[in-house]
Amino acid sequence: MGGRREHLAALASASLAPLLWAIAFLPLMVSGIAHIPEVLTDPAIMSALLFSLEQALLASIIAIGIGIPLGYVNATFDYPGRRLVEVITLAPFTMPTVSVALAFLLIVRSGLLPPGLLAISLANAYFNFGFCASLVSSSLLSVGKRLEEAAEVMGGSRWMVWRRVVIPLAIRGVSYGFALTFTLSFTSFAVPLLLGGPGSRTLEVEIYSLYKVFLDEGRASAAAILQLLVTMALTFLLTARGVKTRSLEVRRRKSAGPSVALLPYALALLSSYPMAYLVFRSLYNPFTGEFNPWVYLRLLSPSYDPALGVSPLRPLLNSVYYAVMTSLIVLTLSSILLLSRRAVRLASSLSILPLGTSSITLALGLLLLSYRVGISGWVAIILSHFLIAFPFSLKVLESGVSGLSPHLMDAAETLGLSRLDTIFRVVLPAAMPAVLSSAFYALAISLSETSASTLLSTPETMTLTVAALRYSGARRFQLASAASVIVMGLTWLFLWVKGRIESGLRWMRE
Amino acid sequence: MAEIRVINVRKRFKGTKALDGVNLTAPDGMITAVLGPSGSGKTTLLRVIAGLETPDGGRVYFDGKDVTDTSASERGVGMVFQDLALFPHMTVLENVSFGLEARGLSEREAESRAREVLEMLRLEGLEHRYPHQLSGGQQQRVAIARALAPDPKILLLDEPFGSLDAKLREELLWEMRRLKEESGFTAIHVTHDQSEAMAIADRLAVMNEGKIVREGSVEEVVSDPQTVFVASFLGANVVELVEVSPGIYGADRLMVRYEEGLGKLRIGFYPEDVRLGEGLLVVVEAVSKWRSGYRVKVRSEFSEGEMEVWLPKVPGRKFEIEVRRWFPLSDTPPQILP
Repeated sequence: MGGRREHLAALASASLAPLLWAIAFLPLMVSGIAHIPEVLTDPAIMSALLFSLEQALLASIIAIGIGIPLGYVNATFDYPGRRLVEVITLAPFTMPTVSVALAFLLIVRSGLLPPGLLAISLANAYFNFGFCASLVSSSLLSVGKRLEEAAEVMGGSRWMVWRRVVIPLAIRGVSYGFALTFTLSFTSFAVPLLLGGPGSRTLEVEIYSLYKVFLDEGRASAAAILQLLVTMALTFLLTARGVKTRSLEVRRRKSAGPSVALLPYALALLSSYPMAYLVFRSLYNPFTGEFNPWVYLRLLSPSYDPALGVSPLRPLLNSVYYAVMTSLIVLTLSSILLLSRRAVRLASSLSILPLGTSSITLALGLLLLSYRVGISGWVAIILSHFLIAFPFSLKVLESGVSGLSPHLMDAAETLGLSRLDTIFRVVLPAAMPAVLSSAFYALAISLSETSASTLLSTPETMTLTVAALRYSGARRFQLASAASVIVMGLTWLFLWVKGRIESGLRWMRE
Repeated sequence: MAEIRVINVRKRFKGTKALDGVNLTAPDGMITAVLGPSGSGKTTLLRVIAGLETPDGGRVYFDGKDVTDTSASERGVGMVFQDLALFPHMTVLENVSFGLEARGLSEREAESRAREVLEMLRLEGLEHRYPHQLSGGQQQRVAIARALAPDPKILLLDEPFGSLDAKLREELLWEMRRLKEESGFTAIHVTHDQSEAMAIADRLAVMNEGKIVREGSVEEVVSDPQTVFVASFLGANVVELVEVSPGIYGADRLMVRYEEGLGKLRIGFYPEDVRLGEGLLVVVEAVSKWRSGYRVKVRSEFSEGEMEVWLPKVPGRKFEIEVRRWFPLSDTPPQILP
């Protein structure tokens, strides 16, 4: 919708993120390419790759296995408490990884679960099953009663309607959920880091320890290249037929008593357990038997803590600072992108690729880059947060502005406004809710980011998520839990604000 | 006072010719409808006139003044967009006073003028609503009010009534005629709907494949479409007649005298210009009730495909019709001898 100059600016900001990705991968290539044969024949790395695939497959099977019946019940029946069940089972998907990992570590330590493959897969499945269920149920809902009725009117038997109409449409939700769970589990870092032992290391953890523990830059880079290739292949294979699901509530749910919803109730209870246990353990120390809510105050303390190598207040301030900076960058770029509808589309299609790559690989690339060209640590962290958050923020922006008329700028111009005025008085204000909502999403993603921050941070630049990992490594589980509860709370707060903005955004879609 | 003159305007998009040497004159104080199928270039032509697209060649004149290089914001035209493009974050009043403030009026003046225009379009009481709180017809009126508020000499309409139901559309078409009488603007109205074009316009310009293929007053164009394309676009039946004796063309007892030995002659006629009588033998294909009479799809040995005729009654499966008014057609306009 703009003139040539605006198009150029918008296209430039559309290509900024992919360009940064490419630049970050350059040093990986330089140091890693020579070591690739070595890595391909290294039994430890190969078994890590195999284990990554194994746990991701198991996690996806569990998540979809639970997601299908849950999604079906939620889409078909209106039972008492359905909305609450949906909120609770979807909550894990929005939890910071460090909180999920820590909650499951505490559960493993309490003896409820054996460590290793099962714990890792369960934690990753826990992350995603609610989202899988909502994909299944929204693709069932989008089938709509009308399509079912149309098929019935045409003389289809109940079974035929199911087989030919309902299932094929639900299958899109199922396959997308499977692909998403698989990719996210394959690239998850904090979960296998905390829950894996020797023999159950994923490729992510392997890359991290090759670099951080063995200081082997070459092999770490080569493993990262391998990781990148595998993820790209997986993303391509699994999401080649990605679907857009709309949650049109056209399918009328049958009202039903609580008896049809035993499974959803049980799942809601089960899924609130890790969250509740995490909060509980942040307040209670089972070894001393002490109940101590003041532990949260200790996280605000400005005095030095040897477990962190810095005062506990520092990570909190850092996290907030990174989140604000990340979201400011997203805000600025989104605003420029809005100058051209084409740029928004281009950016969003360019950013599909990074969605599949792992944060550890990105972080390693940025780290090597920062050593070579002398970027300071906090800049590298902000860059990584921006690169991780931007694709997601873009999706939010894109769907937010999709309801705006492409002729707003033209209309303002025929009314006699100059181009610059048009941008500031019409385009930006009209799209502001979408821009703000994408910025709040970035805020939440940056705040809960764990993997890249772990690799990139030093004590001085540490985030709150990394502090939680450090405390957990020092076996100070109460502080670790408290830190991850704060991260979780703030993340949810930002997501809640984003939700509020979006419900106010409905006027843009009409 | 404003006459729009478009001279030999050309515009290409990625290799496809959107406008292929368009010439058009929209006389002062008249509504000119640019009529054509989708993809014929009519919206592009409108955007060139508005200054939203720069032509690859050719000139645009307003009242003899070359405005080709003037930006849209300085041309002082009013435009109503196909999707209306109301500013979603502004109230009705803000939307309508926007253009006034942009042209330098104070907030107070702008508001009082905006209220005047809103009253003219019967939108009083809706000043503080947001676009999404209005019905489709109300949104349409706001879009028209916004375009008219700065009192433009030229109003450009890009299929603004496409999404409305028939009654509402009819109402707004009358409204546009009334507003034109009151404000005296020159308008170009782009549409693909011939009935809409005839209801609103003083003049018609029919477009096809980036060219204006027929231009004139509504009466001129309707009574003599000249080419097969224009005739069929206006809803006429096209029949091919063969020469039965020198200068006499016919099919059954439909005889036409035409002073040129062509071998074959194509004529066109409108569905309403027939009555039962002695003439062309037709076979009924389908009948539907229409107002006080019938719309009948018929086939004759001499027509390519089906023809539509409107009749007060249908006497049987086969009957004869008399064509009361017809016009000769060709792929290129024929030279009609007096």
